[in-house]
Amino acid sequence: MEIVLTTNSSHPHRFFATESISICWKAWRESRGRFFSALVLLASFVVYAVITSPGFLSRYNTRFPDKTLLYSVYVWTGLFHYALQGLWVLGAFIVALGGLAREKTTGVALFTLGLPVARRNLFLIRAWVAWAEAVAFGLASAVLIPVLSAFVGESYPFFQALAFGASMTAAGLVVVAFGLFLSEIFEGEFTSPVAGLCTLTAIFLGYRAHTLRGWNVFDVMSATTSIDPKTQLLTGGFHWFGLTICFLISVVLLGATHAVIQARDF
Amino acid sequence: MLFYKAWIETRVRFLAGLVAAAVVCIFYLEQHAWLVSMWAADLQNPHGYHMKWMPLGIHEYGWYLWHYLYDNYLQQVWALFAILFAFGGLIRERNGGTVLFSLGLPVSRRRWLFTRLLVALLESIGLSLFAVLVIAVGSAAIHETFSLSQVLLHTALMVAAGVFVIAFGNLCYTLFPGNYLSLILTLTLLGAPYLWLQTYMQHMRYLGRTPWIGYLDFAHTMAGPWQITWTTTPWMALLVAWTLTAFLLMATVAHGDRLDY
Repeated sequence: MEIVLTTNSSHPHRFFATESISICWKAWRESRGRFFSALVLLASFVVYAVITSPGFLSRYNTRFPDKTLLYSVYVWTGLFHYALQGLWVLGAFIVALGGLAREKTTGVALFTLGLPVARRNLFLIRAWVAWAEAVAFGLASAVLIPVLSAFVGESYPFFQALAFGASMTAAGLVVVAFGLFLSEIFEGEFTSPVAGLCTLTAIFLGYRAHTLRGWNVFDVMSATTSIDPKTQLLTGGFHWFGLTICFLISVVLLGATHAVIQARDF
Repeated sequence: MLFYKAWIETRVRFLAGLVAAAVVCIFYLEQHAWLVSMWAADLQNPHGYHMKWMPLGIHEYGWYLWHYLYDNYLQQVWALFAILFAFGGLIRERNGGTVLFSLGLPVSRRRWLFTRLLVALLESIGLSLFAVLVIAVGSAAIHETFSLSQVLLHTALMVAAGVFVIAFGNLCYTLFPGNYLSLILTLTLLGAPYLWLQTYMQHMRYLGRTPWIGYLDFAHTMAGPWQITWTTTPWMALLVAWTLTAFLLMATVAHGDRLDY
């Protein structure tokens, strides 16, 4: 019997080669606990916000009859522009953590690097998985809003929710890229979460409290410039300029992360 | 030596916590004048927002501090860092491959655990006292006076009820020590039931009832009433928090004793 050990892939340039699927599976296994935990947190929050909305709206509208609060305004202001967005940022950041720097600390990086897969592919596949999980957070929680609204006697347009979810995840690629970047910079288990979450929370609350002003990724995520001021529903297309800037920032962060991984001595 | 080791392990988190607590306190002290003027303008405007709490917010600086810090943002930051301080210990060393050096020392596993938890508790107390210092200095800077004894009582209440968070975080880390999993899982396991409890309690308050499950509303217990006295302290809720903390610690000890390193 002859055993042949080779590192030469038969389809080295095909993206969905067997090794890519294996690395994808590895990245999913590494992050699935975090993914399901964050999904439960997001879903719980949406359920809470929608179930408590009739009571809140009736109390508010009784107290301020001349400033009637619409359900669509409640959903955008409370969820897409504030709390749901904040929790999405938390979830997307947490699933982006991990990777070779962390594996170096736990002593398993050499096993991963021993696989016949380039560092670039290891990183890009992990980034794709993190991004896909972040998209799932955004779309699942957004779709849950119109579905649950029907149970409490309210209605929210399905495609509006979907569009806000899509906007949140498209612009939120910056958050995923930031998480990937920090997790390749810091090796400690708690260093990147503490540094990243403190930074993101400070910036998020700074903009929401109007201490920081001007263009920001969080307004692009909630499509602030594309909504009707009265109904706070999307009036037309997305703010493509803002989305393009977010995409460019993400590309720069991903490029910087790739450079860090290539330069690091494992 | 054990204390020093635990301190070395957590000091970066502790310093990050001090920065976060300072940022939150300074931010809301800086916002005070602007918020008060906004509420005053609203009250004077017949078409403005008129909330029951607005006169309190305008005239009682102590209420403002309690509402924004001890009932909301400082409490949340404190709880997040208390959880982070509680993570680590022998389980983390097992993942890093150094646990056998620690276990080789003539120190029992329980002593490792309780030393680690004691340091987490001391750091949590340090964090809350640092917040008091920031409030005192910041309030002097914005020319506001407050009752130091009330702020200290709120700090004591936050820590006294918050020991549950430390024990819960440590148990979660012991059971689910994967990379970053413990953090989001602890937040989910605390956050999701908290939201459900809030929904239920809101409904019960609307019906004018106070069910026993309200004793499990630890965020409410940590905040307490805005003016704490002996009679307004939530003693029963504190007793529930401490009992559950004891159960969590027992579960962590039992799991740690059985674990094969």
